[in-house]
Amino acid sequence: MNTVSESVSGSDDLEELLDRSRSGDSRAFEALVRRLQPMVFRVALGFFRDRDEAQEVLQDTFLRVYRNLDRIDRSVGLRGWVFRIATNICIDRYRSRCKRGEKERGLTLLEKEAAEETSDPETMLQRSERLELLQAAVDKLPERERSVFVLKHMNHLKLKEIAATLDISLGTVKSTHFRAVNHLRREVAAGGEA
Amino acid sequence: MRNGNCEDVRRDMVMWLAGEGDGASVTSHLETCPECVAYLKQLKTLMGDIDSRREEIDLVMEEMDWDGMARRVTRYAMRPQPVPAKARRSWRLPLAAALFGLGLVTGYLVFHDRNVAPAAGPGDIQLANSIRLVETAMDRREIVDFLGRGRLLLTELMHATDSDADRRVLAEAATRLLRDFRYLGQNPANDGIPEARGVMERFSWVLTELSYDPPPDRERVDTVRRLVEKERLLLKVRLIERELEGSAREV
Repeated sequence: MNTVSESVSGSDDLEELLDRSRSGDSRAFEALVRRLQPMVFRVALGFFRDRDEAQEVLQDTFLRVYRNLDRIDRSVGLRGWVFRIATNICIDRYRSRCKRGEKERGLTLLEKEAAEETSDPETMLQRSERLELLQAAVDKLPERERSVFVLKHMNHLKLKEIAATLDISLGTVKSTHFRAVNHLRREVAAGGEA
Repeated sequence: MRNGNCEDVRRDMVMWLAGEGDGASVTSHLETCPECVAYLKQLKTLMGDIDSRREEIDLVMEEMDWDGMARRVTRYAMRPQPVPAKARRSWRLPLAAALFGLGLVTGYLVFHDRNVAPAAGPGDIQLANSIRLVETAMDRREIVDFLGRGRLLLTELMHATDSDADRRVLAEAATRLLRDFRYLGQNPANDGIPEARGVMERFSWVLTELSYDPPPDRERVDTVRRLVEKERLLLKVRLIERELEGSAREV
């Protein structure tokens, strides 16, 4: 599982890869991407639930990482810094999508895969409806609540780690997380009754 | 009956279900508060749905070709980013400001007790035009030089053998050209050849492919060769080079 906290040896490896990447070593940068891409991809899938969009987020994230290799925020470490970039890119994309009035283009791929996994059509339908309801509720969350929710529940980050990643206080993360879960609970309960 | 304590207990409940608390205050409170029992039931359903969603993501994650993706992402991130001509000349603005200030001071010292400042004569305008022309010509020669070296690389690429040594030489030449390419920016396109932008982008792709993770394997070199042939890149580079060469020579 990828979290902000990492083993000491893992950090050392990353630091070495980072130094080599800074000096233009493409293999080192590729190794860095290989190590960090699952967590970025997971954040993106948590936000968009669409594989293509998640791949675009992944590319943009590492493009930004590469361009700013000399400007890493040491206070959150490499992983935290990459998490922050990925989250900001997701938020930016989400904003521009909202501006364009574009509807979520997600669901299809993941739903299809989930559907294939379940054989019973009724269970499949119920699961699909519930997840659609949850996705609609997640889409309605304000940016910060959405970020906290994704980092907490899709990426398994501790609230303390989320605070460092988003550069906000632990108290703010706790209350934001509570509000996010409460919003989802209300939306899902209301949708389920309707 | 819900009381003032419920809000705090519900906060604890959310933390507890998210694995960040012991939920000690929750259990005793639930014995006396049916509303919070209902709340907990809703939360548990929600957490179940969240788990299902996470399982979906896990499924997608398991099927990903991470190696292939890491290669694509790395190439995308490390591809050349042309520096815009404006950025390349960022020193010109402060220099212009300093020269302007110097001009003002000189003008004041020379003309402060005269009523009329002399207008710029035809000689001054001609001088400014000449300087601009010389600078443009220098820029164009830089690009022509780059394109000439690029053309040589493409020719070598088309005739190189499959040996490791040849492929290594190609990669080294491509790395040098790629470094220079960053400083050329989009000048060919700005110099009145808009089609040059597309050609330069394809050419930069060739450079990236050859210089990435040296030496490039045979398959990669073949792919690049096919692109160069298909796009008639060698000819296009030569045409742009000739066009710019002609205009630079006119000056």
